[in-house]
Amino acid sequence: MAARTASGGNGPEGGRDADLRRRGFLRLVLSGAVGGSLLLVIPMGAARLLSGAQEDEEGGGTSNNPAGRRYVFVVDVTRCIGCGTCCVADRNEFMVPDGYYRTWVERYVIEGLDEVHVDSPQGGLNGFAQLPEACPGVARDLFFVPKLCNMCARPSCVQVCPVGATFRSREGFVLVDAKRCVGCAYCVEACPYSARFLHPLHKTASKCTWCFHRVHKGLEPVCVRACPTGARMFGDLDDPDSEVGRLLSRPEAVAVLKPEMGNKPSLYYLGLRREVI
Amino acid sequence: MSILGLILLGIVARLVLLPEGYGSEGLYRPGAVQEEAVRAVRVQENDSCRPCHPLIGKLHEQGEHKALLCENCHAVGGDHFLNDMVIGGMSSPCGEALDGSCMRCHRQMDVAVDPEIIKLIKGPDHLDKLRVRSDHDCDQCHHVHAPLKWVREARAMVGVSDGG
Repeated sequence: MAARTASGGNGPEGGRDADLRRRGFLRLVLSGAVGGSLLLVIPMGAARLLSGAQEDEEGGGTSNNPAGRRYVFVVDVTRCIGCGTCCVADRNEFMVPDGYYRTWVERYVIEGLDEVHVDSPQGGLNGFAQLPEACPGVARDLFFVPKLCNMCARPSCVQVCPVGATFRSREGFVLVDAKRCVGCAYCVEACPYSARFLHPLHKTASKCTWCFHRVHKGLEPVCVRACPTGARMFGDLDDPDSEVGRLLSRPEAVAVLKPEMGNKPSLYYLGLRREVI
Repeated sequence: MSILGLILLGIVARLVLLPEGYGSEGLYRPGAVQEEAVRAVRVQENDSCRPCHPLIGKLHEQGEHKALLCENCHAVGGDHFLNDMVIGGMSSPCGEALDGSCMRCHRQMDVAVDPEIIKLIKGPDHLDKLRVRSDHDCDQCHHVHAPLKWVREARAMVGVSDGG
């Protein structure tokens, strides 16, 4: 108190007043923070919050899904020929600006025992006619890996969005509300799969939606429809007649990207090599 | 007074900051889902092409390319036909562009692909093997909508089986 009095330049009375004002101010700030948080959360309802949390823990269950569907995307790496038709179709469907990619194809060239070259010229839009310049030797292995949004059950992008513009819908689609997005790009940084970008014209976050608008109309995602070899597959995991349900129920090696991140992706890969990151 | 003021402030802040319906489905604006759902489909299904292009459509659905979208080679349907009206042309690759379009999928690389999935070729080798001039375009032997149609017809004419 003595130090405060000395530094404040007021007498003991003045110090006590300042102390009280500070306490009052802190009380006000704390009350405001608690009250504000409650007012924001109340519309969710405790039951919904609990059911949502339970769903996340289960890795994207259907308890909060009125359609009762569990959509998954499966990429069969062994069928991808690197033609880039999927990327062109996606570009056509969404009029994606040049230099930005909602989906892309990566080429992995393995030389010798463990030398890995990865490239994706123009996102694979024009295919892969030539071997990469950095790879003069004879390739021991060469394969293509299509990449897109992983539609995580526990998405980092949703967690970091400060305005609720990125969200996971009841059907399990992670979408962007362009009217709410303020373009802070936290989600772009948070996505472990680099699936997001800031749209250069709209200045809001953009990414693959698994063609939610097409699925909503009973169509397949455009990249699935365009793929000439059936390397991309999409469907309801719980539908016994769906190809994805059949594939993922077989005792084959199914992998997700970066499982250690804990995002619980809904994008699965068949035939994924250990070199893929 | 201060508590009441805070509650009022919170209510006003909620009204101003939170969009309509926020929280009814989750921590987001429900209208955003509907707005995404009604986005226009630009890349159409082949069924939307067939009413105006029945002959090519029939040929296409009987050929080896039947699983392909028309728009894989012909640009975007949404820029061509809208509300029962033709609103723009459609590109059809020919010459070198056509060869590039074919080779985008059929080019043989070092990648190991099951031949049952797709037929892969090396351009010059393929032509040399079949004793075809090296400047021939793909569509001089292959009907692009039914790639083996002419090949099969030619084989039938000279009495060679499919495997020959």
